[in-house]
Amino acid sequence: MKQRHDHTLQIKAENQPTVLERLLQVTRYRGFSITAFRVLPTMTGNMLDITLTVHEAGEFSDNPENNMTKLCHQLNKLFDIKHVNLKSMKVGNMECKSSKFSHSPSNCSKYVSQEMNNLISNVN
Amino acid sequence: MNNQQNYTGASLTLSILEQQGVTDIFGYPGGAIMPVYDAIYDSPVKHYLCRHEQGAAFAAVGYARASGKVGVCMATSGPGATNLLTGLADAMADSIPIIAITGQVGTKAMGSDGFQEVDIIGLSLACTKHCFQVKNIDQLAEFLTQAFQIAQSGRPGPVLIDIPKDIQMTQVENLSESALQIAAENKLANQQTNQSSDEFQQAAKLISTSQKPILYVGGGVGIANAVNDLEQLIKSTEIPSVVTLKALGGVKPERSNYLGMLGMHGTKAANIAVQECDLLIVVGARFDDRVTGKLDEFAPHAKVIHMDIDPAEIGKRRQADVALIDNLKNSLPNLIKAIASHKLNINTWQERCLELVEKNPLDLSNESINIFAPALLRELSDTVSESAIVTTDVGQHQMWAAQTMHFNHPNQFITSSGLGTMGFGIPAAIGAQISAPKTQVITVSGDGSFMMNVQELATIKRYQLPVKIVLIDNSRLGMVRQWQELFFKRRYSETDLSDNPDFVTLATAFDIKAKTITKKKEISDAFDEMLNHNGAYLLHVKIDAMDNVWPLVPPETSNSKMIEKTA
Repeated sequence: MKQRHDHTLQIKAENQPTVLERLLQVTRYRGFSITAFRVLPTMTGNMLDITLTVHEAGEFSDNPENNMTKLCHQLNKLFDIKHVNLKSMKVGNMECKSSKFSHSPSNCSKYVSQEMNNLISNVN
Repeated sequence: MNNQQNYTGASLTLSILEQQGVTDIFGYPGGAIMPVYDAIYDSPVKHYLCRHEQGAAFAAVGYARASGKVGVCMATSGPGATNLLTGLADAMADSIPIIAITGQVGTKAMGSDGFQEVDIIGLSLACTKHCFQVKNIDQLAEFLTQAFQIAQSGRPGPVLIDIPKDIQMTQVENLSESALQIAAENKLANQQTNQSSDEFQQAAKLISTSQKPILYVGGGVGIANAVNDLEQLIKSTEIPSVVTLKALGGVKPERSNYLGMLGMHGTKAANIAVQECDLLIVVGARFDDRVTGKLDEFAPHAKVIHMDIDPAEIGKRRQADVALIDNLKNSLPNLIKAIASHKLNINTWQERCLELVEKNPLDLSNESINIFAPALLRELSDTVSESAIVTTDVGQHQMWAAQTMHFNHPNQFITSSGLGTMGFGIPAAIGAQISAPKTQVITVSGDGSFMMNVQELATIKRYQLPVKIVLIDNSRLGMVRQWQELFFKRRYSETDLSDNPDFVTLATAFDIKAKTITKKKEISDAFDEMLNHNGAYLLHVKIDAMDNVWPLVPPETSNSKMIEKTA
């Protein structure tokens, strides 16, 4: 049976007037519902610490973590968002996984599938 | 620059535009933007008055596409600003760098439902890369400068700046030179990548072990100004290539192993080859649904190397085996280097691709004495100058132009691809013509689309722009009618336009020379007359109402199941 997966995003953003609206708009447009949302200004600097818990709207997909990664990439494109950390949580057994997204595309460039790694080791 | 003490928000806005290299802007004045228009009166930046704000936004898109510069459009608050939004959405979908400057009611009236007040920031969030609202005069220079950086950096896109009227009128104090030279935000600076050579080696290994590789080329190649780099890759590897609508001209049509456009109205050769390939090398493309058909069945045997500047495109619609996330201007030369030491063995595949091209020519035959639009557009393509820029509207004529016309560079074919916006063609041609006054600019339009921004004929008249309009008229909303015929049991709901206005009279009212043709034998002379005419010209081409665009992949169907022309 498919389970609902809640995912928590920890986001650091500039405290600019449109940043929260943009964050919510992208989250909705990319197909997620929000179950918890907490925003705190940082002690120093004009920044916000945002904790956003979401799950996929509509039917549960077979690959929610992949879809979460897509959401993180989309949020990470927003100009005022500085970085996004993803913590996935399977409701029930508390399995956690953490991934980081930041603005340098080079952080995302280490992208080689398992299948590809196998192929490369075969070639070698 | 003026003495800084003389700056108002409005004149500072114009000075920053000038400093950013802006020479031309498109817009429409109104109450809340009047101080900026007053500053335009003294500015060397030339303003072009369009006759609808949507026209101004599309002109900015056409200008940006043709010139590679940032397009700028401007409107007043409220309805002026909302009228820009379709153009912004269009620029968002096609990754075009444009800046929209909107007037806003004064800061004291904001939030009170004032006259011509609308929350344009709220409305533009979903169709801009970023937007700014200037809350005090000290932010103005920084926001404008940042807007230009954001619009052009990474994957380009539209940026909106909303300036309340009182801020436009405020005297600028304490303006330091540094305020005009705002350094790039760290975030923008960070977008330079230093991708390790590992990924390129992995890509090169995938390519060298592939028996049937294909290059799937998208609009990113033109945007990154990497057409020559792609040409080098193709020259050195002879890998067969297909292009998207936005990448037409990205591969020279005469190049061997070129299979044409893929997707819903692509060539059969391109679609079959992609379905058969074992490796897709995606160059600045995003697996759009009009390209892939039924996604699960798209290129089912292929591994994927995805080259794009936007990390969010990697794995969005199709998983990649290797991703090269960078500006194509960097990644293409790196890939060429990485492949250099590998030998490709793809002769059998090249022969197969050639066979597909030879066996599946586009059918331009038509027995009727009436005009067959695809054949007319091929003849137009063979007649216009090598450097001509063609803009289109959206619908059957757009697909026929894409199928039959040849381009030497993506900037020569300016069309609304991602958003598919009717009414795009004429204002985009205005922008293109203004950016390149000596270049032949042709708009291919349809009778439905033409009427959507017909008021821009007045802009053509006002600036005496020699734009040539080829209006393909089937007295129908042709593409929708075609779908009604094929997929809605021939229930032709609201697609009959046989009560169209007399287009020749209409054009004449705007001082645009015009002529109607209905028969094939008239085409050649009509083209001569149009292209030799020293000014704007509208060639009204009547065609049969029931002509369809073939071949066609029905919606949500595999690209291997293209429908051919039915009797």
